[in-house]
Amino acid sequence: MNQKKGKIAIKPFRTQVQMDPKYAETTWNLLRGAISEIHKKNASGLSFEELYRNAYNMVLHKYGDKLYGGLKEVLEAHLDEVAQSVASAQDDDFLQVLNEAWNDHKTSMLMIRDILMYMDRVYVTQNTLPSVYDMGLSVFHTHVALHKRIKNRLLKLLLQHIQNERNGEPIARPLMRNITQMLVSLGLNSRSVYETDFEQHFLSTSSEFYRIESTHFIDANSCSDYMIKVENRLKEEMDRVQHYLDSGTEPKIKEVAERELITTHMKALVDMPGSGLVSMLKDDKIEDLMRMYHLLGRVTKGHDLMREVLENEVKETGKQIVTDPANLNKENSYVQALLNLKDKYDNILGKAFHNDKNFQHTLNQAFEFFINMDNRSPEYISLFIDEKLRKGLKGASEEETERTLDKVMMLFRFIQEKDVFEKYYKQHLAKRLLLGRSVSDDAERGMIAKLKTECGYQFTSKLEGMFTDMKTSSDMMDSFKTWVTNMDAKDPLGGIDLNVSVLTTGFWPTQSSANCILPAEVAKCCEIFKNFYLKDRNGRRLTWQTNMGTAELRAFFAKKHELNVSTYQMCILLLFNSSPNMSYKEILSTTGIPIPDLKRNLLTLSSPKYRILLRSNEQDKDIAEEDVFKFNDKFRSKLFRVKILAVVQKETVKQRNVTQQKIDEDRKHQIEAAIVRVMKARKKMEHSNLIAEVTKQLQSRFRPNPIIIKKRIESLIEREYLERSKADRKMYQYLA
Amino acid sequence: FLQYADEQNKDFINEEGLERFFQDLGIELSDILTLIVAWQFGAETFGEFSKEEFIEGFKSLRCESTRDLKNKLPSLKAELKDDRCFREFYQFIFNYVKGPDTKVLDLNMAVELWNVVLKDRFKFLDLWTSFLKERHNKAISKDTWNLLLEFSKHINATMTNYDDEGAWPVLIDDFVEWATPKISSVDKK
Repeated sequence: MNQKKGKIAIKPFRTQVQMDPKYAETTWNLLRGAISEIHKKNASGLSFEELYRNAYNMVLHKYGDKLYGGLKEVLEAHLDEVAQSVASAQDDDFLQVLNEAWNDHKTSMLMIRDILMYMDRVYVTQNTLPSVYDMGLSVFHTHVALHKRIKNRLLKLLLQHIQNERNGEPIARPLMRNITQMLVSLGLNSRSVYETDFEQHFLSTSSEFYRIESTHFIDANSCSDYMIKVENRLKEEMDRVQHYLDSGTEPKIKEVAERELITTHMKALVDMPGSGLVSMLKDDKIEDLMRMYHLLGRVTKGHDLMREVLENEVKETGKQIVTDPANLNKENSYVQALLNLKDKYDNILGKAFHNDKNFQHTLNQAFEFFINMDNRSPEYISLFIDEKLRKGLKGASEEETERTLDKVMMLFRFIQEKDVFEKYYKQHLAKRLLLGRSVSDDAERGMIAKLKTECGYQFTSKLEGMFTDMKTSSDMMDSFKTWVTNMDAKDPLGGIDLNVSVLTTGFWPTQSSANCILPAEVAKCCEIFKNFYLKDRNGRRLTWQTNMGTAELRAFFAKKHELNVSTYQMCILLLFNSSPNMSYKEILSTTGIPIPDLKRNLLTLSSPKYRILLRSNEQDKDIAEEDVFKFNDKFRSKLFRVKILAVVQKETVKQRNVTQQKIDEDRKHQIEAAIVRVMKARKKMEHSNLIAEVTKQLQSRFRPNPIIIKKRIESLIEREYLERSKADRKMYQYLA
Repeated sequence: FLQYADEQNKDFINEEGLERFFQDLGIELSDILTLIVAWQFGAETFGEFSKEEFIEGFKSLRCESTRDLKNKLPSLKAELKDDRCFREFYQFIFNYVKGPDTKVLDLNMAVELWNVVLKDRFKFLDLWTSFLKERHNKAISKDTWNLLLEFSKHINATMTNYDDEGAWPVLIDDFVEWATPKISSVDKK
């Protein structure tokens, strides 16, 4: 024996605790048994700690495969059984049974997962496998949900329940909810199971259902009833989704329902005779209109359709007003009808359509369309305002006046030919001012302020000039009166109370003033005034406008009366002071009044209404050359003051043509001025650009016709203000 | 250079003299060549040549005698085949014929001129002249005259390439409107 040093070496155990396969098998069986118990809902007798440890050991000793695979097998077998029992349930209980199976599965999976948590953390992640719970889900999916005797039945029953609910039967919503949530869960992290196995079928059957239902509804119901039903159905579907469908379904079912209930039928709905949009508008059915607005607002083109119908309806109605012969001869009813129409639709717009801008725009377009259909609109509107400012607003409060005028301004905005309006307004205003007919100065000025805001200073500068003239004249009359009293002669005016308004030519509407021959006494007064005026203002020229004046005559019939007449009428009547009978010819030659005016005034004076003169030939409508007139001293009237003035009337066709010609002339000049202005600034411009620019500049006054613009351009070329560029015939150049 | 005894009045050749001049050149009075000659000579007033114009004209054409000029005539006519040349010529004769006092050319004169100058160049010449006689009956402005040439070059046989926005004078717009149905009815035949 060798002599060894006595050293003790301590060595670790060489043998690791190896789990031998047999041991693994035992462990697995243990676990498997536990799982079984869990499945049998018999888990209370199990020790969590022990099971966990076992699972842990298995994984630790690299038996994770066995554990995982084994688990899968167990689950599959178990769930097959479960599937059998679910499949054999009756229809009535089917969902309930399935639900229970599902709940049981979830519960047991949770427990199993807890036990196998170590495997989840280590083995599963290492091998990127689905987690225990997830694996359980997919096994449930494949073995239960997709079971051939379960899958279709499930779908069928779900849809049937929904159908029943739609038909008014109550169903078990919580149960439905559980099932749908189950489907969602089965998709693991996606909705794909829910979608394929349920949602897409739900959507297509719903679509079909609503398609049929809506067709029946619409045939059997009026528009408003249909809409109420639709509203209810839509609410119901939203409700349904919230209660037992997945929230992702909400937009989809909404789209389907809206499509079938609204989009498909919207044309029929809107056009429905007797209850469609048109009749709703006609009858001011605000609630129905509001409902339609909301419903159709949900779908694309819904509002477009409404607006189209609205536009046509408004245009039609407006057209009728404009072409109605009853309205054509009474300007007030014409404008009033338009105002009423505007009010009606403003009301509808505000209450039913929430002042939607697009609808507002549509209405405006429609109004613009028919107001400009009749080229007498500007005249009528001016006449309407005239009537209001003369009589209509008498005694009205400031607010009322504001409101009325504002409304009229709204109509004014729609007029395209604003220059025509200006012309008439000027004429009417002149008459109002000169005859002192305005009901309120404030109202007049208010109106002008509104026009100024709308159209700018240029539009109203002349109108304001007219006001200034009146004021100046009134001041001047004061100094005139003082001056007269200081004159040498006693009563130089011969007892005549003279009142003169001095009008600046540029401001007032031009009228051809044929001068008539004033009676001597009157002429004398005029001379005196003329001297007074010119003595301080050298270089000015005064022209008496005898066609615009008025006179008050004191006349003695059986009783004394005061007659308000025009200057021409005064001239005629005063003749009868010298002789009771005068022939037409004599009157004509002595007064020199233009023939048409003379005839008109003679007709008025001898008409049955004011029989101040008696006509020899009462039968004929027109004055004949041979007529003789006699002063009627038997004239009687209840009133002391008799007004014989012709008030502002709308023009005859002939007068209208004259006015139109003047307007066309004015426009030609304006167009030329605009062309020159533009060319001067730009020096060179291409043809279509020039036309566009000129149109733009003038559009606040009227819409120039491009052909007329072209003619003006050619005229300017001829007069060598412009030339065509040599290189390009379409280019114009400014010639300084 | 030559002083041809066409002068009656010392400094001017008037109408009668002109007639003789053209006769010697072998030109008919209605021939376009009379206008071409006038143009080449830079004549200012219709129906007469000033002495200066006459002399300068001969000089610029490098002719010494009437016969030279006569020989040159065909080439002058050929020159007009060039578009630009023709346009100058065309625009010239408007001013030449209308005279310095007015801005417009009398309608009948214009029609005659067109018949001479635009023959074979303007396919709608006859339609144009009948249109004018029927609808227009007024004198022709310079703008219209000048643009008619462009129009004749631009417009196709069926008038379908006419551009409404093309800044054509209103008269030509009206013409196209008036003539289009007539053309299509002719086509149908």
